[in-house]
Order: sequence, then structure tokens, then C-alpha cells
Amino acid sequence: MIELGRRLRTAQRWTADVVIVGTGAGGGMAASQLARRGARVIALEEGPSLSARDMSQREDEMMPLLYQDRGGRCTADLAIRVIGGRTVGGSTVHNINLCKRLAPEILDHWAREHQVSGLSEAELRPVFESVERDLSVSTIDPQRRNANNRVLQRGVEALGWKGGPLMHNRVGCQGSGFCEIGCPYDAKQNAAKVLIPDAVDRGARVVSDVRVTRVLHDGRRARGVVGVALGEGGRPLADVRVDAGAVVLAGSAIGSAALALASHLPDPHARLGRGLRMHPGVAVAGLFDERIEGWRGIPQSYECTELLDLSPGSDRRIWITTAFAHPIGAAIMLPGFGDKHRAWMLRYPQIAVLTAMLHDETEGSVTLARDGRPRIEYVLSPSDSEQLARGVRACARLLFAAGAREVLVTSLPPITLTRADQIEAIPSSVARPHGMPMAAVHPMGTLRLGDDPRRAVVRSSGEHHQVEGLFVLDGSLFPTSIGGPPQIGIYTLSRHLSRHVAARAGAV
Amino acid sequence: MRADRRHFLRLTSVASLAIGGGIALVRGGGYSLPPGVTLAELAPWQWVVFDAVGARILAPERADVGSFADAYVAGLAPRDRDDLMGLLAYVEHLAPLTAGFGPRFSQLGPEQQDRVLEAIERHPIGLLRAGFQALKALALMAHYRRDSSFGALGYGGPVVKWSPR
Repeated sequence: MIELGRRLRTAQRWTADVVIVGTGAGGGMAASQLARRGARVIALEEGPSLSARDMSQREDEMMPLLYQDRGGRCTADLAIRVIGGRTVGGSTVHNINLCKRLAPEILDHWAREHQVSGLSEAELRPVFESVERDLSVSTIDPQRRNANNRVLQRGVEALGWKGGPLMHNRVGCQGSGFCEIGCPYDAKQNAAKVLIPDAVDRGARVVSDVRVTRVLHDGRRARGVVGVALGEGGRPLADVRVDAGAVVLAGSAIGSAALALASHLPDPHARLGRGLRMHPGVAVAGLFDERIEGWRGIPQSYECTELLDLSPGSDRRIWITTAFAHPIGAAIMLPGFGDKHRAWMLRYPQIAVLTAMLHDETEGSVTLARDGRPRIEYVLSPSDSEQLARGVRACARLLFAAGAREVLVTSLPPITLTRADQIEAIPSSVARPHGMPMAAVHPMGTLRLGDDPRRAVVRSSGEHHQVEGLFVLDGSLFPTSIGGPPQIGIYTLSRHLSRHVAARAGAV
Repeated sequence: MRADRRHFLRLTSVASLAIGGGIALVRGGGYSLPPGVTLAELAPWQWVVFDAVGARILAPERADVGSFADAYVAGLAPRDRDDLMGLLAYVEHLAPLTAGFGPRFSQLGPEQQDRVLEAIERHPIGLLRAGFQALKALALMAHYRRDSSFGALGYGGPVVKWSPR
């Protein structure tokens, strides 16, 4: 049973072997693994505890419940929307269930250039396999590929480009297509469904509605955390303190970095919060004669990797998949207002949407704003803007190859194409900051992993270089962009590194 | 042109000052709410501007954008709420002036309002373009959250028939 922080009315002081901040892929896995090792675990989640019965399939109701800042979190210059979860299960509750392993090229690069040890592809392979087995990862049956994904497949095949089916962690999926606002059928085999219940069954305490505000430490040793239980509208209800021999930060590359900064952790080499990557993406729409009804069925079941080479220094850093949205999300993406906007909305059933996501080299940062909330600084470098512009052109090419009669680039001003030979006229500046709507769903890299304390915040074990007993087990660890959906990478690193937390906490 | 949130606040604070100062003496009065509208968070002028902006974003459709915004801003963090209100003041008072119109936004005709909004949508300052997107999103949310908007889109809406508990 998950305990509800919103029911607390008096100050609490609890004791545990390990306190975990965040219950998404990293925190959920750590809670399960550590409870299995016999550790006394308390996991704290800022957001609410929701069940399948809370998922109403309504964007306006679910966005404030599932997303940080009601879905409106942005970079400091407001150029990129940054999506992150805030509920028990974290971003695994609203993600699309995409499952890809960390690529061997990425892991090799981390070992060679970032002094990451013990995380080679060979060492992680059995861990990937365990994670995939526990989360029921499988390739989506081609028979269940929806029309929007069939458009992408058609485009890939017509152009002879590289592409293929994607793997997901879903069982019992009804194909309703509302994945990004929570599954009312409990089909997502995610942290909330698989790992948190397992942890609770093994004695872990999981408490929702508690915002951790500071890690307790003396500069050398972590002692626990303090926070506050939140009521309706984020109203503070009661102070919460957990004394623990080990602390795990698993609140995302934004939240964990902000907490590390607020806690004044030692930072002799000014690395805290630096190195933010986040796979910014843009969307391109194609208008078809036939009905696509892209909101129906399983999203993102097919990918195009023609422009994706994860080798270091590659000039092909674009991953393409589908990105449909329900009416509010779609309406916000479409350009203009009034009659012109309305005309696009009336063609909503005939629109297919592709997204180009960047394997980014730009490095941003997380700092603390004056009100204590995270401030995300991230300005696309010219070379990354150029990459994204290539992605926009590639999406347009795929859509025309699939039979689109019109392609819409949602830039300001918008670009409408009626023939494939117009694609090369899309300027490189199209994907500059504020050039077109951008969203980022994979923040990573702000508390980097590596054995060189001058370049990394935590060791290859996940433990902080200066503060014993303080671990990071979320996407903050990644020393670089990974060029694909991060959840399997996060689950896997958390599972693999949890043994170090257990050892530090005195559990077997 | 790039600017961050602090520059944006400085920019919009000029508009806020305009409300409190001399310009407001001429331009700041006369906001009245339709009968039956009660406000939890917004001042009457803010409701009126939200509603006026929403009417142009959604035209020819209509939605009660002012009242939706009143409920929506209650859930915003104080800093975000301040940013939004600063932007609203900019739209009402400064943006019409920079577009060559004397009256405040809520007193302009539909075509003039569209010209003001287009100028913000394409403004050289990226933050103002982003601000326009925020206002547009709010208006679209007010409209496309309603089941009555789904039919024209051919969209079936939620399959389940419940709300979060």
C-alpha cells in the first residue's frame, strides 16, 4: 500500500537504511532491488499516487496530475518545452513505453572518454535481459501498427531508408492511443505497476506527495533527507525527515540536479547541474487524402534510423518516429490562429505527424531560480540546429514518399510544401531557438557518472565522489546524450548499481 | 533576438507600470464582467483581456476563455503567474501602441486585434513569440477540452467515462 503524504498533518521523522527520492524508472527499480536485498527502504515521491481508475483520457485533467509544472515546464528562454513526470512511477506513467538498450557505441564512448568503468555492453547485457524480462518488453506486432506508424513505414520503404519496428513494455494494451496521459487499462509494465508494488510487498515504504527539499550531509557523508508533505495545490502540510545511511537521488536530471544544488553538496570542480542534454525534438505534419486518425492505436511502434549514427563525432544525429497528439496537443502545435488554425484542425483526422529528435551535443545546465525551482538553461548550438533542420527535411521527405499531398512545417512563419522538390528550400534556420515549437522529453546528464572527479559528479558505482552514501540512479548519470528513449537505460543502470547502495547501507 | 525570463520580466514590467501610472489613468478603467461571472484569481481587466484574446484565437468558435484562465492560473507557481500577467498587460496596453493603435487591445475591433496578435506571434523577441504561444495554448485548451468540440474534428474523445478521483 502506498502511503499518501497528503494525509499527513504533523511533522514526521522516520528512519531507514536507504531513502530514495523519486519513484520513476530509477527510483522504482532501486526500491525494488534494495527491498529484495533486505534493506529498509523509504521512497518519497513529490507527485500523487494514481491508479488506472484515475486516468480519464482527458488532456486538461491529466496534464496537471502527471507532468511537472502542469506540462508547462520550459527552458529559461521559453524556447523548448521540457516534459517530465511527477507521480508515483514518474515519467514511466506517461511515456509511450519505448524500449531500447543503451547502444554499444555509447557505452564504449563512455568508457573511453568519460572514464566510466564496469558498464560495458558485455557487463550490462544480462542486466538488460533481466529488465526486459521483468517489464515484459516485446516488439509491437505489425498487425497492431496504427495508420500514423504505417505512414512512417511506407515512407521508409519507399525511400529505401533504414527503419524498423520498435519494442515496448505493454501487456493487455487496448490500443486506445491515450498512452501519454496515462493508461486506464493498466497495460504499461512500468515502475508504477511492476516495481513499486514489488518493493512494497517486500517491506519498502513508498510515500507520495512529499517534496524533498534538502539532502542531509556533512560534506563527507549523507545522513538522510528533509522535505515537506504537500496538500491540495501544493500547500505544505507537514515537515518530513528521513534519517538513512544511504540516500538515492532519482528525481530526473532536472529534479535531482536541483536538489543537489539546493543541498549545497560539495562541488569542487563546478560540475553539479552541468552537461544537460535532452533530445529536443520538432514535429512535421503531413496531410493525406485518406483518414489517418493518428490518435487511435499504439503510438510510436516504428522508427526511421536513416539519419542516426551513434558513433562519436557523427554528423547523423537524428532519430525519427511518429508523434501524434490528442486535440489540445495537436491544436497547440498547429500554426496560426482564428480561421487559418481552424482550417488545419478540421483536417485533423487526415494528418500524420512525424518527429525528428536530436541526439544532442549542446550542453545546458540546471541551476536554481530565486524561488528555488529548477532553472533550465539550454540554447541549441548552431550545429545542433542544423541537425534538427536536416531532421525536418527528412520528415518532410518521408511524408511525401508515403503519399502526403501537403506537408506542414510548424515554424514561425509556417512553411507549407506541396511537392517534394520544395524540401531543400527549408532553411537551416528553421530549427533555431524559437524558430519552431520544440519539446524535450529526455533530460539527462546533470550529475554525470565517471571515475574522474574533475569531470564527473558520481563514480562509476553511482556514488557521489565526495559524499559517501549519496547515490544517483536516474538519467542524470548519463555522461552524454544516448540518442534514444532512456527508460531501459535508466532501469538497467539502477538495477546494476543498486548493489553498491545496498553494500553502503549494510544490506546484503 | 534572445532574452531570458528575467529580461522578459523587465520588459513586461514596463507594461505593468503603464497600468499603475499615467497611461492607466486614460486606459485603465471601464472593465466590466458579464452577469454571472465571479472570479477566484483574476482581476476583472485580466478576465476581459483573456477573453478578448481567446475570442480571436478561436474565431469563429467561442469558449469561455476568461473563466477557464481564472481557474487555470490558480494552479500556476507564483513566478509563472507573474510572467503570464505581465504578458497580459503587455498585450492589453503596449502591444496595440507598438502596432499603431491607440485604444487598448480589448477595445479594438476584431481585425485590429488580429493585427496586434500577429505582430506578437512574429515578434523579433523570441520570448514574446513564446508568450503568444502560451496565450494561444490557454485558449485552445479552453475550447478543445470540451466534448462539444470533438465532433467537428471527427475525434471520438475519451473511451472511459470517469474523472480522476
